[in-house]
Amino acid sequence: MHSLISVIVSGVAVGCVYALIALGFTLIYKATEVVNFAQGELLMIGAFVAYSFIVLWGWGYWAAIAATMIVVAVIGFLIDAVILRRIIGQPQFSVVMLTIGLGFVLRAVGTMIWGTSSLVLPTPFAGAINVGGVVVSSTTLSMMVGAVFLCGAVGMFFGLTRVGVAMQAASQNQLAAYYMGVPVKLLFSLVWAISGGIAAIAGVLIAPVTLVDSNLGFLGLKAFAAAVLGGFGSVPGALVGGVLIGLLEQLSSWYVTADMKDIAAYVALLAVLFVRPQGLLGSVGRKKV
Amino acid sequence: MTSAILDVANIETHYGPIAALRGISLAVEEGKITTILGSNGAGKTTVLKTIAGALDPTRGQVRLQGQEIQGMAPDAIARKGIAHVPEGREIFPFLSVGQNLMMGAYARSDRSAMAADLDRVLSYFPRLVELRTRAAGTLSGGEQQMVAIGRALMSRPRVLLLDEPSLGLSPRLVKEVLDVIVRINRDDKLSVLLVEQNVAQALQIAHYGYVMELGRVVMADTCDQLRTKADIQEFYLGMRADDAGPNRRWKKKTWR
Repeated sequence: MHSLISVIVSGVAVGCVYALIALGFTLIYKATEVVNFAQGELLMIGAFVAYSFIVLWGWGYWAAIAATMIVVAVIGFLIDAVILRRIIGQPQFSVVMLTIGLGFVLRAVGTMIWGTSSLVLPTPFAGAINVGGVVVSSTTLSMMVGAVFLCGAVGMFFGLTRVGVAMQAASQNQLAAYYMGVPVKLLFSLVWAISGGIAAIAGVLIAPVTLVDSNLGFLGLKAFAAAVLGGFGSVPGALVGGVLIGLLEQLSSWYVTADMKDIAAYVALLAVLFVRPQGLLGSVGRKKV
Repeated sequence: MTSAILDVANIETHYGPIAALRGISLAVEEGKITTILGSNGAGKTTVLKTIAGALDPTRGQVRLQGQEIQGMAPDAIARKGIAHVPEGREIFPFLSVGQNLMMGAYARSDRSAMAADLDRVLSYFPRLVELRTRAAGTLSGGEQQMVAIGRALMSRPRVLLLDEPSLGLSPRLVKEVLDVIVRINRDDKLSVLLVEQNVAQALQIAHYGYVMELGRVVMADTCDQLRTKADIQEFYLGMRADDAGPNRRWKKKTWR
């Protein structure tokens, strides 16, 4: 029984990180209507950069996290401001291809700089905590706490700050936001920066579980499935979808076979989309022209 | 035209290959309500969009207090002091009414003055007070129009552009909205450029009027004068001095 609970706990923990990546997808999509298929690669870069700070340059864990977040946020900002701005207005297809291409480029850059072998990211989280008879490792706990904390911070930013509300406004009615004097393009680039920062943290959080290598970017596809499962464009949907996919993965490898783990996300996605094409929490026809 | 706060000189605006404006010149006098009249497709909305920067003119100048602003980005023009209430209101549907109003003041940082302006806007539209926390998309058309105008006022504009504020409103609401425009103009000496389908009402509240047809200004005069012109009465006010009475009915029957 306890082992089932610990499977659930670790599923939720991994799911929390998926939720973070899915949140990045959703924020960019809501703001700019671009599906950023390079989101997973931003996460990979985040993990690599954190490795450099901690292992190669000997920074402390927390300082390294902060620095990593800033570096990847800047990368996200520049991707939007320098590259994507130029082809906005072109067919959606070319924008999608561009982000996929960017993913490949980032993966190649990652391999060139950090090599192909899997790296171990040391963390200060050691040992385990006994919560009501269930032993939870500190690493697992760090993933959950980190994700919840980050989601709360992002939610507060969008709901309460002037710039956050303006980002919502720009996503709901771009032209009207321009008429209010909102520098819409700058805000969109900032949304990319925020998504990049979130992806970086997600990368740092999941690194102890997966090791750091250039394949880390493929987590982006699972998180994409999570975002679609929850209803693409819905923030609560992304979070619920992420946790559900993480949970399903662990449970299916526990009950069925370990090989089931990698396809569970997509099987669940297919099943849900057959019944609810808009996703679990997605809404139909909400987008206004 | 020395007192013109907004001066539009010979602008030409194209939608692709189609010329929507073929050399429009008009001026908005400081502290006055100026109106643009014209039938559908005359280019009234295009004039406002060009001034607000949503469209770039291919030729001509738009000057705000002597400074050329044509071709600037719409957000930069908004920060210069031109507030545009677009056709169809264009509020932020999922933000609350209060958030919508505060978005109008996005470019400002004088918090205490902003709070005072919010109170003032709510005094113009008292109905919005109880709706402050509601999502603006759930409001009725008239209430949304109030939000759109209030939001524009929150930026403390030098010039207010209003595109058909009475569109789709009941006659009573039309009067309510236009009364507020008159009040704002009178109390704050705010310069207004009003595009309105409701010609009779527009001529009543505005000081100066331009009549547009097919992308050109065909008539410009004070509204008192415009009201007395035969063309205006015939085409826009539905009056016709010589068509009333049995004479016309009889004429209509002749071709049968």
